[in-house]
Amino acid sequence: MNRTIKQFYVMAMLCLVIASCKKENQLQPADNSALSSKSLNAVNATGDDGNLLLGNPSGAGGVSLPNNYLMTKTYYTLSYSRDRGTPNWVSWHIQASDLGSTSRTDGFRADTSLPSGWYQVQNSSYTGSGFDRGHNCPSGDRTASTDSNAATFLMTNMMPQAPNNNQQTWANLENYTRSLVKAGSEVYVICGSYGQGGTGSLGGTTKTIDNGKVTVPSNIWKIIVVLADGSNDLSRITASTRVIAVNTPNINSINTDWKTYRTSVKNIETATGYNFLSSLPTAVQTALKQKVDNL
Amino acid sequence: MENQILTELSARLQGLWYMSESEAPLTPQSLGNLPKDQLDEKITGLFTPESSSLTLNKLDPAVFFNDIVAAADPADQIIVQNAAKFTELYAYLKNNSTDINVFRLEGESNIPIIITSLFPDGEVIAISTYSIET
Repeated sequence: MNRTIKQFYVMAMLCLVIASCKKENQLQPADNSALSSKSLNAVNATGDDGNLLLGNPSGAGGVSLPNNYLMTKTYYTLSYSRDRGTPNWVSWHIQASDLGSTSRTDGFRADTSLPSGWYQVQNSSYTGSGFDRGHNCPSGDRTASTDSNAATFLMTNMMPQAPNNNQQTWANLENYTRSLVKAGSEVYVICGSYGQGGTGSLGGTTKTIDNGKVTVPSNIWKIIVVLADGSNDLSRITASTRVIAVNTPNINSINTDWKTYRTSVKNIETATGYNFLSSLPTAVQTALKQKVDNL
Repeated sequence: MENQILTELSARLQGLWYMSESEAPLTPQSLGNLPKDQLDEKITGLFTPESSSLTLNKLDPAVFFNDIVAAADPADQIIVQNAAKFTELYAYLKNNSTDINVFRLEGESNIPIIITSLFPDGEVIAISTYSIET
């Protein structure tokens, strides 16, 4: 009897150890930043000013989720899809101190921090495709240091973006976002893509590039939560906080005015299946997700 | 002579791309016997798109060409080989011409980049490309 109890006890302990390892694997953000320097606002991704403060939209986790793999980097956090070769979403925070005078580093490069055996998208993977290397977290949002800017050129931060979408519509929205920060706001941004099939400079519909290793998304979206610069941000986000949600087609004939593509967070949730702003109280979430920005 | 230079340059520039968020070919053209003090104005006039207001910035050519090599991902052979061709181009220009300049016309996402150099017969050659920077 004693032996049976002992065996049961040992088995139970083993199960507990295995379960805790699994949990850690899923929930512990992979600290796979290729860069060692810390930005002031990104030491803790889920803390105040953290890149993931507003929540993990897709429940991204460890290597057991290869198409929803959480990568907690110093200057942004993302969910990566191994099979699409692009991020599902990238989340980051911008405040005045993130915007400096560092020149673009332009070092597009493979992300060697991906798990062993995963295909690493290269700079040349996009060459001749008719699609731009479209940043999710833009170079211009990380100009306080060479390290922070270089981080935005990892290919895990890129998506195949129709040139006019990238260079016009998206660039205008990015510039507008930074203008809000320069005028005294801080912002939380989540950017991503979904679907398959876009129209780049070569015309027609392209579903993949790089011999099928990179999926061309049909849509590119962004959610921006705007706050007056301050602290304890979660407690300051209310039903009246400005939220800008935009969902654009990944086509070259796109309207250059991003305001044309404003929508609600709820609509992006419906399209992607994600749950945004989950760190906020339910009532605030509900109110913010219905809004369509009209400023 | 002009045709020879342009022909030779065109051959060297074949398959060479300026890599940025997109990739752009490099195109040579003659600016003729242009006095040095008219170069900036000529570049601005030729390469500024209509209805744009761009700022002409002059770069150190050595830094410009070195940065292309430095930015290439060593694990990406296509990009490394492309960068090496820029080094060869710079060596060719230094060996065959003088007064090499690199200009950027900044202000929009599409940034014209123009490399100019003066050949022994007095002809200024411009090699133009662009960088996409958002």
